[in-house]
Amino acid sequence: MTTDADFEAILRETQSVIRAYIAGMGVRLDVVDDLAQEVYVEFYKGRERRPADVEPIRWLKGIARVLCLKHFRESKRRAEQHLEAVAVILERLPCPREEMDPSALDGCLEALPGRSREMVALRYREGLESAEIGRRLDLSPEGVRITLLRIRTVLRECLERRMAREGSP
Amino acid sequence: MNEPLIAQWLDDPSGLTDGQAREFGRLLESDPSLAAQLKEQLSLNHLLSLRLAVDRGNFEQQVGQRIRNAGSGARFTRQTLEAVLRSERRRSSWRLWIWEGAVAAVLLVGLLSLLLLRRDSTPPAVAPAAARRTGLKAEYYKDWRLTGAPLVRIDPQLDFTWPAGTGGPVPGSADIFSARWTGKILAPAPGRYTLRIRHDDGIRVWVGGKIVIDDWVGRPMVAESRGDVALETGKANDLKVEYFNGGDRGVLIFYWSTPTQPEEVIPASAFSHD
Repeated sequence: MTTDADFEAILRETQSVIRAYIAGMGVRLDVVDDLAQEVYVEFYKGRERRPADVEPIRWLKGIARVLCLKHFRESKRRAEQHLEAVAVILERLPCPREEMDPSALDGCLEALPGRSREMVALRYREGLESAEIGRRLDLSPEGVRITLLRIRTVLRECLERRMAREGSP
Repeated sequence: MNEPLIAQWLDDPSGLTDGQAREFGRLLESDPSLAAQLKEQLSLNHLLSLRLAVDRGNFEQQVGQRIRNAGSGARFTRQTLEAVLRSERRRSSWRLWIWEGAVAAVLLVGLLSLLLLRRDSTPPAVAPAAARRTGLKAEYYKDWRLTGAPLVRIDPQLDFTWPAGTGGPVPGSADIFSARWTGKILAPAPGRYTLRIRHDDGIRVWVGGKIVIDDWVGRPMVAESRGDVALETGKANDLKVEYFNGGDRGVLIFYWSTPTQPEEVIPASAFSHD
């Protein structure tokens, strides 16, 4: 049986994996935490139902999968309904860096050119949409989207290089 | 070749046509390397948001709050909230002692001053609770700029989550609306209060005519703003709050706390209007 203390520990130890799992299914960033919190509420409400031999993380991922697909299915936005099919494909793939401390990004962010850093801050710190970022940086929304895609690729390569260096003797 | 399509999908899937969205699904199904590339991008997107977004750091407390809201058992909630907040308290306990010491000193000085000046003291400026009209006057506008004819009502508290697609408090607003609340805020005990506001999208707050929070910015996720104000018992301070939602879900929740009073959603008893 899951006691309150157990739940506290499970929440603390698994939340980064569950949030990454949900983000990895293509759920929009502004919905990821809402859904992840719902996963823990459902987990708590049904804590008596979890078989003793099923690890909490597996049980949580099962709840997360169901809630994500339900989220896409019930969305009033037609485009999001197509995301359900994409989520099923993405869910089969391993989730990279699901337990990575986000501060690992710091060195790589500092190494970006100034304009790229500014664009990242406008998107992720200020939460601006591509059209608004484009207005501020004199770019088209499409230009902003492509640049952000490439910046994320540069950051991924940087993280991989750092991990390889740290892993080498 | 697929770069623009992936970029658009990651940015705003609703910008894809039905045909493009279906085609994108087919491409992912047939090309595992494309799916892996997308998964990598989603992972980086999430990491960047965790690192840089304002309001993604207090996840555990929010889970406790939601379990309480779901009515799953007050006993559990109290224990769990205590538990998830314990580590936070441990981290800041030395700061709390300093705060508590400072507050105790201020209270002592205040008490001595009151004793000395008692004969000259004036009656409290606030009407008895029974005579006050609780809640704040709310004016809701069908745009994000607080213009046009408002829908007026009284809101007991500022504790709202308007789901996407509902139009929020303004029917037919397509989730784009704004609001202004005016009235008074009354503290149960004197002291320095920290206002914490969870909001999606922008917010401005004035207390006693002075702006204490100004975050009039559209955003894709819930943000958090804080401001400190000194409130005295028996004195109702003017309060004005302006808010806008630029589409999708809307959130506005007002909390307060002091160094000695745990954080709570500001109760209806603290608000009044003319």
